[in-house]
Amino acid sequence: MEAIKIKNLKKQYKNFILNIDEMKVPKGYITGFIGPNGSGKTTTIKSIMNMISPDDGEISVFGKNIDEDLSIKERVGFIGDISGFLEESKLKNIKKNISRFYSNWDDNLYNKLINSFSLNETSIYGKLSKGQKKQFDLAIALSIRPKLLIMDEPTANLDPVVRNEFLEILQEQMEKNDLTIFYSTHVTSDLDKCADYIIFIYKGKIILHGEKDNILENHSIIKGKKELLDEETSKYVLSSKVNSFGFTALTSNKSEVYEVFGEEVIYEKPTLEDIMLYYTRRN
Amino acid sequence: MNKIINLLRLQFETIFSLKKMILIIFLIASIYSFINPSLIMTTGLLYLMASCYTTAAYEEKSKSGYLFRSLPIKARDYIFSRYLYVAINTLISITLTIGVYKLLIYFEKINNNDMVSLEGLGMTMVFIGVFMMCIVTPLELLLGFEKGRFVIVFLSLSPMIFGNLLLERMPLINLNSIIIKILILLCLITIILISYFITSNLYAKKEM
Repeated sequence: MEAIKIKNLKKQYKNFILNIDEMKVPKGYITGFIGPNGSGKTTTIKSIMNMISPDDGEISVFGKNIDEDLSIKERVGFIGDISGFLEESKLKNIKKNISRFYSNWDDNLYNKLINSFSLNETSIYGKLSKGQKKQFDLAIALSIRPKLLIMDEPTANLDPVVRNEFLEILQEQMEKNDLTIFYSTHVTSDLDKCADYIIFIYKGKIILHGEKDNILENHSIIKGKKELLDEETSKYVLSSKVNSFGFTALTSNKSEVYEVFGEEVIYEKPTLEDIMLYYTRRN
Repeated sequence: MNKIINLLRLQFETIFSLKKMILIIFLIASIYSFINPSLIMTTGLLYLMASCYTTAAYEEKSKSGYLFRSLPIKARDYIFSRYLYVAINTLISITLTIGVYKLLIYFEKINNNDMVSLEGLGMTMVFIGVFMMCIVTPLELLLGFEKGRFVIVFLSLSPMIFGNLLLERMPLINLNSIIIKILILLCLITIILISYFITSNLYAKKEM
């Protein structure tokens, strides 16, 4: 069963249209939702969380509508760009008030996370640094013992140390508690480390999805002399960049391209960032 | 019901976080009432303003709407808790106003004949509470302070402007008549229910 299933989701704004024919987030894995800013990541996540009303389409979480079945919503942790916690409140009061809504609240886990992040519970939420706020948000979201954790750009603006710590805790919790994580970001290096699946959205449409290792395996960056890239051979690459030294291009079918270019070009393993850059350049 | 109580606790947390500010506002208003007893309404009204309007402004600043949408609650539960929150604060403001009224009498700043009856004072506060509940709160929730700044500021200040006028006109209503009391009660309940259903439906469709 999929943790999240989306069918024919449509949402139209003045200058942007979200149009997702189908999107599935597999249960028990970390799925990275990538795409440049303004691609529709936040709109999709807000639609899942019922923070906006789609014009059309169906969204189910563990097979049910998240807003109709509150027992499902009780097992969904959400970390957005904005937490909505009162800036003037002390951390201990926020925790006290939020924990009451969740029957599976885990006080031990909360205390463990707060201690490992060295957060002082008497601190005022609004006076925390951005990194500390995200750490607190994560502690709250994990302490509800979610089955699904949805995060919208949680590591944006965090320094590498806090970001790594954040990702390590996520992985640890996923392994221990059969947690599904759906995680939007444009910092693709985070996903290189921890994602199992990737969904790539661009200009409101899903343009690539699948297992991360398969995606990385099937794609290849090729580098060669610019004379090798002509009208005929460029059909075999997704997009390319040519300069006076030669060309670099991305292909999604390594074996086919090998038949065309053979040993005359260099083949390199791409990162998710490379793939994202070449796909967006294509358009 | 547990969810409503939890939501109320969450909203009262805003008051507790701002308790110093609210206490100072109440004390200053009480001092004004001692200087000029005709301002007695102001004490309760300022508490109501601070507890409903100011806390809503702080919640909007913190974008608490996102939190309420991510909690396992339905939109109608949140709106119901919001109405209940204003009702409880109206009762608190009535209690505070009566307390100040009694103190003014005790210190002989006023006597029972100077002012309208306690019943009239309480009724005026109830009208203002219902106004805050049915008009100001829905606008805060649906429009937000950014979009509806001017309308909300004007509407929130209007009880301050019209409160004393209402208090002066209160003796014109025969509050001893049970039929009048029942009619007023029915009107208020109808207004509250209409406002609640409209606000619930619109809030469920509101986009964050």
